[in-house]
Amino acid sequence: MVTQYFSVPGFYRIEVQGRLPSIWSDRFGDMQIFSPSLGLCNKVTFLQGKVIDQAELTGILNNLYELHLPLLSVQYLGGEQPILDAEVN
Amino acid sequence: MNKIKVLLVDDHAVLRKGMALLLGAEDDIVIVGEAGDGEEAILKARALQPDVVVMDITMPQLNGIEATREIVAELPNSKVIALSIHSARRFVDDMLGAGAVGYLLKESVPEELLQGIHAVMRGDMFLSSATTDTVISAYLEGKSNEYSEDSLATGSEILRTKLQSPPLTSDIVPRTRLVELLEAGRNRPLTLVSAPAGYGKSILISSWLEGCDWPSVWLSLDADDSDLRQFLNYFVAAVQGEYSAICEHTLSLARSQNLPSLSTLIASLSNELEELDQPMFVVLDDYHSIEVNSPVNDLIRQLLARPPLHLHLVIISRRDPSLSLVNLRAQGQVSEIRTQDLCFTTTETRALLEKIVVFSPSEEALVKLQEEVEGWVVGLRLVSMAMRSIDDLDNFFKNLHGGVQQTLEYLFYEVLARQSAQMQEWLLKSAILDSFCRPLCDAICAAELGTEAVNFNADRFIAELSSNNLFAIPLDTQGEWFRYHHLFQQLLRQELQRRMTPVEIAGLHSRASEWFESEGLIGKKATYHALIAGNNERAGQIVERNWRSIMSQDKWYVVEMWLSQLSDSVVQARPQLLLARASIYYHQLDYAALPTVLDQIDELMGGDAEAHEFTDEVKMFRGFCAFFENDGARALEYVEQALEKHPVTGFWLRGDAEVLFGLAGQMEDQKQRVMSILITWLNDSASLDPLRETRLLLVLTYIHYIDADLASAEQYIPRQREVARAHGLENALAWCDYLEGLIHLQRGELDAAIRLLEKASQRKHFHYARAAVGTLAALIFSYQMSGQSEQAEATLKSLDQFIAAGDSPFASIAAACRARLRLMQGQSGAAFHWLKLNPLPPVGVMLFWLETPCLTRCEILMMEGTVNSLKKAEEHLQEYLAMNQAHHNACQQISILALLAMVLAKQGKTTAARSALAEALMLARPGGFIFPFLVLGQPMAELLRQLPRQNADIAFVKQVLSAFGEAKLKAETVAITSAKPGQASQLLIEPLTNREFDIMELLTQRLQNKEIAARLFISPETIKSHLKHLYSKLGVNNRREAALKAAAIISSSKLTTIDTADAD
Repeated sequence: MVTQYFSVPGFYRIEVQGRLPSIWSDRFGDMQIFSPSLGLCNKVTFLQGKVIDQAELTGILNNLYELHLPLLSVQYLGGEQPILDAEVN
Repeated sequence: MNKIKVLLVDDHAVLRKGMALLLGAEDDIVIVGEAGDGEEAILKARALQPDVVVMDITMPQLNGIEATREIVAELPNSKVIALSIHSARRFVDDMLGAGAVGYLLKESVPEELLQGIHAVMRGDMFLSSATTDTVISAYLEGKSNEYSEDSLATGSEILRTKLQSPPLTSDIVPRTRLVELLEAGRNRPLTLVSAPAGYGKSILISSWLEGCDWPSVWLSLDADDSDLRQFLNYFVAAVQGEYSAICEHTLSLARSQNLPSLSTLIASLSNELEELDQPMFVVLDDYHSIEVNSPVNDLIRQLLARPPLHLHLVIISRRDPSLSLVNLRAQGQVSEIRTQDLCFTTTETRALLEKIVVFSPSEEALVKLQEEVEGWVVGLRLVSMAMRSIDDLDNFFKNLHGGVQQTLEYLFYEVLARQSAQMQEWLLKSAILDSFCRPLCDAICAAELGTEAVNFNADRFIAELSSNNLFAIPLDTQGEWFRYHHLFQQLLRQELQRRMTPVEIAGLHSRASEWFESEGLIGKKATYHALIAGNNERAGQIVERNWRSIMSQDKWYVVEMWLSQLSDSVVQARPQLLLARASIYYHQLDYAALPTVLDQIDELMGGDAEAHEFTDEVKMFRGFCAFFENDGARALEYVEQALEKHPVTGFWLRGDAEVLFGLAGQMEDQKQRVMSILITWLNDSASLDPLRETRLLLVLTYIHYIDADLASAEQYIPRQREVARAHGLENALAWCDYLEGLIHLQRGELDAAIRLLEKASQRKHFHYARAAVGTLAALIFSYQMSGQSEQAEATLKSLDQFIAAGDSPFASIAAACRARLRLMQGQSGAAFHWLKLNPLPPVGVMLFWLETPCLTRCEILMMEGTVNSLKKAEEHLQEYLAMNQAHHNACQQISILALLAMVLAKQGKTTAARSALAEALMLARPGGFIFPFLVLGQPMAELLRQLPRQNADIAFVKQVLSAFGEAKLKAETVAITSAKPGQASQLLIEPLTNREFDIMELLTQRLQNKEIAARLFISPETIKSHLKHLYSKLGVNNRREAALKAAAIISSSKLTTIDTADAD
């Protein structure tokens, strides 16, 4: 069981409803952005990457809010670089 | 020229005739009528519309005060001059408060009557010169507290913009549906609008309130408003925009040096908001700026928990605020407008497009648009802007895709691309600013000299912004300040980062920082931009340049805020910033923390404590530390060095250094030398600023007081008051009242002491904290000694509340104070309890404080009376005596010796006791110190009576003993009046007639019968018979007793006035 502290980096995956252009990743702390092409009806976008601390994380979440993207999930992936899910790639 | 029309009102016909004759002889005055009582006065005034009404105060039917109120309300052009024999403060206050513009004493007629009439016709106020100085000045003191707006180092311009509701532009689509929702919930204490940026929240509320019949005020919040002090300042400023006199007390609390506790502030605000007599909206826009942990949230939460009747908050926020919404919803206290409500419906979208672009889209296009933009207002506006230059609009819509965000982005670029190169550059550069005005834009965006187009400037820029409706939102009605729509600003900033390097952008921030500093808007904006520019150094420099001037205005909390914005590493590396930090510790009396910081400074400056730039300040602080460690010699040495090297002007610590100089000099028995130097400085008016002047006078007062020379101490106070009042120096005024109160108390003049100490206690939040505590303690004892137990208890409560506001160093003093009070009330159990629980406090420099835990301890030990306790008490007291003798502190020695005498007497050591008492009396006589003996009660009286003749000055002993007697009489008198203060005269066997009341008042002024008769225009025989009746009603036998009792009755009714009046 990994414990995440408040002020240390961690890897997160965020899922939102809607589409986000992947070139916008520089606005989101260099997280990678990808939208699975699961048909046109269910448009979701994933952001995945390293976050310096909780302050950065909350900033990212706030930006997504201001851009009108409903939050679907936020998942902590551990302190180490995770292997990307083949499914969502 | 028109003659001045005068109406004469007095119940004394003879006097009226006299005045009529006098005034009738004047060319420019005509008497239009006379009245014999208040009601007649009002009727005649209505009928005759006089320019001036001369109004007596005490009249049958309706008195002059009420009549004045009526007349002033109904006939604004009539000026009322009060005419009375009474010079008592109460009457002046009442008449002036009722709207009179002049106050005249009957004894000053005729000369001053004419003068007065002419003065008020000119528009001046007129106050009789014979009215006692303290009365008028006390009144004016209360009225002249006009605070300057600039207590936050912000320009008044920005203040304006924060209070301005968004101006309504012409392209607004009426949202009737939403307005109905808002109207339905308007009666609830809270209306909440919660949705992200770009939904037209502010515009909606602004246009709703515009059409609403209730008054409303607006406050736009930003992150700095998370500071409770700042928030309250702006909040009250906003509310005062509608009701100019409301919430004054809260405002003064919010501006005081020691910010009171949250509960005190909330109570005050709630109470004052209850004064609203009709509903009012207060809009808090951008509430999400308030940090979650800010006490502002607690304030609002509590305000909503028990909302004042007519207060209706409207909170506009991008996120739900942390205000216990669940509870509010459950209680039906909140009306909400949420994102979903704010989305434009298809109908509204159509209406918007038709209005802006005069285009009516097809159904299909509309549906597509709705799908893509989801009713997001800002998206729609961007759409409409982009649409201006597109030909096939219908097609344009059909081809929108990618969701809201992409659409938004796309549209933004469309719009930006259509602007000229110049405009683009200016748009992007100005995006770093949260708000901008023309000069600021010029400062930041203007191209370097020598490059191309020079004919583009801020005026053109702003003009184009407005005409193209480019998301620039005006912040005031003068069109001076603007800000960008949040989303637009974000997009601009992102584009800026793509086009300019970080270094260039930092350069823009630096320019902004410079501009703000040059405009005097230091602190927030200047340091903010400097910090963003990555320029910690510069931010530090800004603080360094400005902290001293702020400190010298006694606003140490501003400096504290600045320092907190800088990173610790910057502060540690720069000696001036450390010095700023040291000065904060100094202000907070944190003597423990000071030496370390001072050492750091010396080290950073090269290790040579003598030679560096800040030596004087460091020495001053060291001197202070030394003084409070009882090392007078070193303190004096340090402070003299500091004063010597530094010029008289320009040293912000000068005033404090001079005070230390005085106190240390007194302690080291060099008071003659020190005082003569102080007086030289005082007489050098060229280099004297008001604050320094008051401090110099203060230290002279201290020195004499500590020396037990009350008369000399007293002489400096009037001048200090004058200077302080003239310059609005609240702190100095608090000291004046406190010290003067103490002086009266020491002399045994309890009523005068109470009066002054009450005034001082109303300024307690402006006062040096230790002295505020001292004020309340002295007040408690004064009340108890004059038999007013209830008041003593109430004051004790205030003391508890005051220290609950944070500073626990004083908790021990308050506890000691309570224990001593219990002892005085005969509840020794509580006092013994305190003794057990509290260890011996460290004994420091005692100065002139009236209540010190160590002495209280000894007093309680003495009451315990066991052999051991008495022994301990004696030991301690000898120790304190020795210390105060070394410190040459005469005033404390008196108290110590008096107590020591009693302890020795209880131990049966009569000779020693008598010699201690004799010494005490010897020290006490020159200044007339009575309180140290009086406070020890009857046992002390006994001791005094048994003192053999040759040991002391008999006359003085008699004086002290008679004070004991008077205190007893007073206590009995107060017992009569304590049941219903203020209606004391009605508690007498029979109530007094007006005439008897007048006579009673004059009696307290020690006037002879002849003088009283002259004042009242009646014969001395009549006076005599009135007096007979008066004596029987008061239950006394002679003139002296009557005077005493009368004084007690009058002062107890004055006390009520003081209690219930708010500001003073």
